[in-house]
Amino acid sequence: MSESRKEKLEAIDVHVHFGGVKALNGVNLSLQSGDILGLIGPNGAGKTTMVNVLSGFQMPHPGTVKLNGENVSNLSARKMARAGIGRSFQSARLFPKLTVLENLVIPGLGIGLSRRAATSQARDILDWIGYREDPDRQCDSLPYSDERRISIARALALRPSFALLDEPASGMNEQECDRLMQIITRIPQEFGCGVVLIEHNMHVIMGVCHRIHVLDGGKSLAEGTPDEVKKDPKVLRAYLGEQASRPEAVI
Amino acid sequence: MALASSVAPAQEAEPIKIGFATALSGWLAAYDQEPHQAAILKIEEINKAGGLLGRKIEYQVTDTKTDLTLTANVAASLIDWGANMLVVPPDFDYGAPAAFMAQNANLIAISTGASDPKMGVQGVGSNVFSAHSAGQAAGIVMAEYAHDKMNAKTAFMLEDVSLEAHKSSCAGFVAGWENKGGELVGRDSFRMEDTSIAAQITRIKGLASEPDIIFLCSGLPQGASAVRQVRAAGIDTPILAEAGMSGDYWLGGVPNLKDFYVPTLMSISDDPRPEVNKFIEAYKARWGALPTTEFSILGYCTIEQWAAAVEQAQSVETEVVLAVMNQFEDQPTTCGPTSYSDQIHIQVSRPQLIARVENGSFRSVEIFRNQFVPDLKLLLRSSN
Amino acid sequence: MTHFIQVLIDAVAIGSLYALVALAIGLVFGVMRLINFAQGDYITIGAYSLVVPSAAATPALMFGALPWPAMILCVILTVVVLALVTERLAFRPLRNSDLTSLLISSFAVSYFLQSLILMVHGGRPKTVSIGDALSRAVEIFGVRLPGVQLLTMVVALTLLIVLVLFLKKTPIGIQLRAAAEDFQMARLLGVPANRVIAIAFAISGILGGTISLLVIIQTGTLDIRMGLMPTIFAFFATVIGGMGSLPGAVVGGYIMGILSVLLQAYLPAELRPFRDAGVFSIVILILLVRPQGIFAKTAKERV
Repeated sequence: MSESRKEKLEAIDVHVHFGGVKALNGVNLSLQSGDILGLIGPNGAGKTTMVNVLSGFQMPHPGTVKLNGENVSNLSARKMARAGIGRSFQSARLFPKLTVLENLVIPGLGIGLSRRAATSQARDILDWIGYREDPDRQCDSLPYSDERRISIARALALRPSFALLDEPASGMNEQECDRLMQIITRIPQEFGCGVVLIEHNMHVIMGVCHRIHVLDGGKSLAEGTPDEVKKDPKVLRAYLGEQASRPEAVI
Repeated sequence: MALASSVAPAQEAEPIKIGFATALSGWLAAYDQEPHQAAILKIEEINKAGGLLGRKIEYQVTDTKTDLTLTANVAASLIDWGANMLVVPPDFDYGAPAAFMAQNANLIAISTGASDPKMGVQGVGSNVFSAHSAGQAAGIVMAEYAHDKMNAKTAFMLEDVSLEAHKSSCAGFVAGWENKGGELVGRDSFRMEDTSIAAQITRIKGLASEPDIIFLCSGLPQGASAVRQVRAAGIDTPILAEAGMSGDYWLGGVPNLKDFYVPTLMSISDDPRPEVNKFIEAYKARWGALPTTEFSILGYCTIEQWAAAVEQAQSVETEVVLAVMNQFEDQPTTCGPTSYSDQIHIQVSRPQLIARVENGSFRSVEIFRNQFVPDLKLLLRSSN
Repeated sequence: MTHFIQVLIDAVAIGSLYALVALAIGLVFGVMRLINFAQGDYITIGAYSLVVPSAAATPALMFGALPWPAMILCVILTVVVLALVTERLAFRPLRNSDLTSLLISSFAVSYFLQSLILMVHGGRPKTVSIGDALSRAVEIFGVRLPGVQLLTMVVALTLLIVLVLFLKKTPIGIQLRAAAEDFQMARLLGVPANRVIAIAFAISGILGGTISLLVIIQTGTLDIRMGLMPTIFAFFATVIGGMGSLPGAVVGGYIMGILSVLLQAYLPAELRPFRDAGVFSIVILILLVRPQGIFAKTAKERV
C-alpha cells in the first residue's frame, strides 16, 4: 500500500485563454505524492481550468505540465489518465445504469486487474470510504452525496499517482462534509497518491489540506499552509467582499 | 432513266425500317433480351421469304440501359433514322417514354410484353399497342379455370400490393370470379418487403372452412416466399397464381410443391401446339440455345402481327396499318388468336397454357380461354 | 380466443426477429453513436453466403450444403468478419466525426454492400431451401406453431440470455456497457475503446448471421434488399425503446412486431395495404407522448 518513490506533478508558467478571456495567466504550482494541495479562489479564478490542464483536458498555451520531470503538456485526457492522473468531476458522471460496484470495477479492469481482483479492490474501496449500503444498486438512483463519494472512490480505484478532486463537497451537509474530510485526509496513506482539491467550502479546505494555492483572476495570489493563507492580507482582501455572504466560509 | 427504273429489282426498293428501343442492360434486360431475339428471328424469316410488301426489313436496335431518360432519347434517334415502327420495352414505366415519342412522331409502337392497358389508347396514345395480355386477363383466366376445370366454389385471395401489375390481376380475378358466381370467402394483402405473412396465414386458417383455392397475385421473390410459408403452415389448398410466377428456377425454395397453377404463354419443354414448338426450334437454331422465358414468343408475334397488318393494308403508313390492327379479331399468330379494337390495344382473351408444378418443375396441363372479358373500366382501374 | 392466441404467437415470433435486429443496432449505437444501416446488408450477405456466388438463376449451395452445425457456424462467421471489416475500414476512421458523417457513412457502406451483391450474384432473386424439417407446424390446443416461429422465439430468448450474461458477468461486457453509457468517461477509466467497439460489431455480426438463417428458413428467398425492412423496423424499435438502452431496443422490437401483426389481423381489408403506415403512425404517437423513448436514460445523454 505504501509508495516509497515520490512522484512529482508540476504546472510551469501555465497560460490559457478562451477567446479574449485569460483564464490562467502564468500560474505555477507543484505537488508530490502524499501532498494534499487545496486550490481555492473566487468564481472564475481559473481553478477548474487549472485542473483541466493538469489532467489533459486542456492544453496550456503557453506553459508546461511535467509529471516526474517529463513534459506531458500535450497528452490527451485519456493518456494522462493512463499516466496516472485520476480525477473526479463536478457532476460525478457515474455510469448511471451500472451498479455502484460495477462503477468501481471498471477502473480496476482498466489498470489490468482480473475481474476477481478488480471486484475485490472495488469492495475494499467501498468499505474504506464507509459505504455500507447496497453495492448492487444502480447509480442513477443514488442520493447526491453518495454519488460524490463513489465518484471519488472511482478515481482512486484507478490507483492514480495524483487524484484531482473537483468540488466534492458541494451540496453536502455538515455531517456528510465531515465524512468526506475523513476520506480525503486518509487518501495519501491508503493510496500513496497526491491530491489536488478544488473547493469553495473553507471548512473542508482548512481541515484537510497540507498546503493551499490561491488563484484570483487567473493569477496565483498566494500559496502556503492553511494558517499562512488564512492570515494573508491579499487573500483576505480577495475574499472578504465575496465570502462575506457565504455562510460555509469559516476563515 | 426510264431504263434504270424498269429493271430495278425488288431488293433495291426502299427497305422497311423497324426500330428497337430495347433494354440490353440493366434489370429489364432479363425480360427484353429474348423477345428481342425472337423478333429478329421473325424479321429474318420474313426477309428470307421475299420481304414484306416485296421490301427488305431493316432493323436497328439501341440499348435503353433500363434508364427512363435514355429510353426516350433512344426512341428519338430511331425515329430520326427513319423507323416505320418502333418496338418498345415490355414494361409500362420503362416502355412508355419510347412509345410516347413514337406516338408524337405518328408512328406505331408495340410493346412486346407490357401487361398494363395504359400502354394503349387511353394511356400513351392511339398508335400504341401491347402484344401481351392485360394483367386483369390473367386473373380472369385463373378464376374461370378454377371454376370450370377445378370445380372450385370458394376462394381466398392473397394480394401483393407492392406493384400495380399484381393488383391488376387480383382485380381481374375478383371480377372473373364473381362473374362465374364464385364466392370470395376472404382476402388479405401483403407487401414485397414483408419478411413474414404469419398474420395473413392465420386469417386463412381462421376461415370457417378451407377454401377450394387460394389465388395469389404476386411476383418473385416475395410470391415464392408466400407460397413457402403457406405450405409450411400446413395449408395444402391448391394455389393459383399469375404469370409472374412461372419459371422452374424458383421452385428450389419450396421443395415438394404440389397443386400450384400458373397461366403461361407457352411451354419450352412440353407445349401441345405445333406452331409453338416450331418457333422454339427455330429460335434454338438461330440463337444456339433454347429460350429460357416464355415471354420470348411475344417478340416473335409482335413482328408477326404488324407484318400481317402491313400486308393487309398494303402499306406501312401508320393510319392505314392502324385501321387494320384495330379490327383484328382472333387474328392468328404464333402466340395465339390476337384481337384489338380502336379502344383496346392489349389482349384480353387470349388462350393461356395452364401449367402446374409436378416433381419440381412446371408441366403443361391444358389450353384455356376466358369467356368473360374485362371492360374498359376494369382495365383502367387496378384496385377494386 | 384461440385466434387471439394465434395472433399473439405470430406477433411474438416476428417481434423476436425485430428485437434481435434492434439489439444489434442498439449495441453499435450505444458505443459509437452510429446507426448502422449496413446491419440490414449484414443480414443479406449472411443469407447469400448459403449459395455459391454466381449470376445463375438456380444457384448451387455453398454453406447451405453443409450439415447444419457447420452451416450455422460458417454463416455467422462470415457476417462477423464482414462486420469487423466494415468497422475497421469504414467506421473507425470516422469515429470522432460528427453524427451526420457517421450516418452518411453507414448509408454508403450499405449501398456499397448491396452493389457488391448485385455484381457478384446478379439482380435476379433466387430461392434456397434450408431447414425443411422446420417447415411443418405443430398444433398445440388448436394453436398452430410453425417450426420456424418456434425456433425464432427460442433462439431469440437464448441469445438474449447469453448476451445479458455476457454483458453482466464478463470484464469486456461490463466495459462495453460502461462505454455505451459514457464513452469518454469509460476511456478515461481505461476501457480499451477499439476492442470494445470491435466486440460490439462482432456481436452485431453474430446477431446478423443468426437472423439471416431464421429469415431464410422462413422465406426461402434471396433478394438484395431483404434486410432493409427488418432494419428500418429495428431502427424504429430502438427509437421507441429509448436510444442507447438495450432493454429498450428489445422491448421496442417486440412492440413493432406486435403492432405489425395486430394491425394486419384486425384492420378492415381496405386498410390492410396501409398497415405499415398504421404502424409508423402509432410509433409517432408513442414518440409524441414520450419523445425520449420508453426506457430513456435519465442521465445527461450525449446525442
